[in-house]
Amino acid sequence: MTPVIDALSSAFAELTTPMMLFNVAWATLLGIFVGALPGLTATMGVALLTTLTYSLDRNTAIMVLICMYVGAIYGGSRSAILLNIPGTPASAATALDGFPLVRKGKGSLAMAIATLGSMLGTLVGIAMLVMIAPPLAEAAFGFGSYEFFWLALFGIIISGQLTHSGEPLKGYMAGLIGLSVAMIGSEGIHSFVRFNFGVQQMNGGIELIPAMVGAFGFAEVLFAMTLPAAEMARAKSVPAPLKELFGSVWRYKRTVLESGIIGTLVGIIPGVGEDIGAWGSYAAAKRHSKEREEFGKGSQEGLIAAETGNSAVVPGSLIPTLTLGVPGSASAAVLIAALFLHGVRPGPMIMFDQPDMIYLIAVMLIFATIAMGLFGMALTPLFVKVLQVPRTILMPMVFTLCVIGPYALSQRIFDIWVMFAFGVGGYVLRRLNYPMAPLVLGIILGSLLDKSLRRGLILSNGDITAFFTRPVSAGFAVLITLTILFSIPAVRRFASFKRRRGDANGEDMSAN
Amino acid sequence: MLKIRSVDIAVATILLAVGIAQLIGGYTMDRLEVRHIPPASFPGLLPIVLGIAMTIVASLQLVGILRSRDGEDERRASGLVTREELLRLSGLIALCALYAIVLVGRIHFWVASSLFVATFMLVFELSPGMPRRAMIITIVRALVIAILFGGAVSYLFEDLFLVRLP
Repeated sequence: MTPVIDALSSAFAELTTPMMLFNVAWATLLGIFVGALPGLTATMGVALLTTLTYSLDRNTAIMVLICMYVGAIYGGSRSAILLNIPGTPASAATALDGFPLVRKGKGSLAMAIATLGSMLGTLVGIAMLVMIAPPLAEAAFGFGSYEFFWLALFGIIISGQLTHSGEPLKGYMAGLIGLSVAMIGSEGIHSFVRFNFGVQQMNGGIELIPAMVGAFGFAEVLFAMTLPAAEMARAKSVPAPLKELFGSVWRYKRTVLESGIIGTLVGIIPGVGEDIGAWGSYAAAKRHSKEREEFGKGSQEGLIAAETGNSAVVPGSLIPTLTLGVPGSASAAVLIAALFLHGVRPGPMIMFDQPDMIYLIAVMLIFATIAMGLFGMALTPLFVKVLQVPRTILMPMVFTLCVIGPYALSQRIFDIWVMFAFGVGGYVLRRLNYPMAPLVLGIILGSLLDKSLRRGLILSNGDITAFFTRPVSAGFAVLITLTILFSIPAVRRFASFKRRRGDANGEDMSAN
Repeated sequence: MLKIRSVDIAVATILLAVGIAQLIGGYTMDRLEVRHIPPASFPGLLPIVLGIAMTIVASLQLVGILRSRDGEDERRASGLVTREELLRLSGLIALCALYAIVLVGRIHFWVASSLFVATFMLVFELSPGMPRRAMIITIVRALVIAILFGGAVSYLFEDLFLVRLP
């Protein structure tokens, strides 16, 4: 335990400078505003801010991006509670109980509970990051091409499966589109140029940042300007009574711990993200609650579960990001691109190349959490003011930043076109309920999937059975097969029929 | 009035075509025999697999959409794209394209950005029945915000963050 404490202490010492604390403050505050404004998501915030960090040193750049990520996921709860409009998809579950609490005149208490819940969720996630990441990185050393092939495939399949809205085929298709985009340009083994359609600028492939800024940023602009405007709720800025606040949180301590763990575990699953973390925690809390009927009508337990769950995903999603190079969420996917830009190589080698990095990031998360708590408790009236900025003013500014971001990265006008194409395509796909997370994950994991498949085949002299015979590979193969099978309605119906029949037989037996 | 179902069919058909094209593209891709590479590692392998998967998924999607009842969408407001929404969307995309694809790189960035922000605000805030006074206030506000924003963003990126703008 001492080496971990030593590493954390030296990370604290390295990061605790006045300039760094100033960066924590502005980046977290900016993140909270980005999250609070409906139409701006955490992923978009991290993608746009990445372009501002080019000239910063490694630690400052990563700190600023992490503060933006933590702040934005939390910030979504402001508009979810005040307006009944989730600022980010991660806050949809928060709106269910947060807004009814505002209607009951407990808006300040709701916001304070959400703040404290988010802080506790992030802290649970940070504790798990520090405990799980180093051994996971070590375990990942045993991974070869076969395991990485299955891991990449598992990420895309599970992300497609869990992020669709009732149509798994759309989730899978989004993943396949992302993978197909990753096939464009020079491949990683023989440097053979694929699918460039005679356009020389496509030889290097489609860059992640322009694609993400388009799919999340420009598509959001199109959404915000074509959907009906939201009505503003009147929010009182009376501070929440501390006794009631801490009493509520203490009463639901089990829910907090459970939601924190669920959120972190959801974060570890590649590409799944904060919204699933929030819904998973909310569902678990409802299942175990003694006040189940209160859920959806202003339940403090429901609110705290949703907020703890989505915030715990942030550190959770950084576990596979840092140790395997496979992002745990869409925002973590952008963070991977930023880490590469600043000379950090996420993956199993991280504990050897940059052993301090995991602890530095854990401390950065702690700073971001403290800043989030302070701002969250103190600045409610300011959030209400910012939420009143009309979208006709905000959206052209967001689009301008969408144009600057990709260009600033590569100095190529071509990347602005890529952003534009992904924005329009992303809008159409999202309008038709195609989830974006598998698409982004596909773009990131396409190269790993391709290289692992072909390297594996080279190693085994073309023998495909080598992909199924190693224990971890076989485990992933079974998991993927079951995931796909259970997405087929007929199989699901058959399984639930068998279960019901089993239950009925059990009841008959006990009756006899 | 456009039904979401029709758009869904069109998109699934396009994806089916992409899947088939990718399958063919992967299959006909150079096998690189001259470089003596192992045949199992040729660059078209994953595109073939993806092409097959995309073709299967898109076909299943198409079958699913075609089997669903036609009238289902019409009963839901979200199942339709209205003429107004389509016009608004086309105008918005055209305006953004004018800025991102035509203006950026041809004129100074802050001029292009200020022009874009001002036009955007005026297009979406001005309406024909607006009183004259409100109209003047809207125009002045749009111009002031646009000029300030264009200048601020250029200063922030070019002078503070030393990023070259188009």
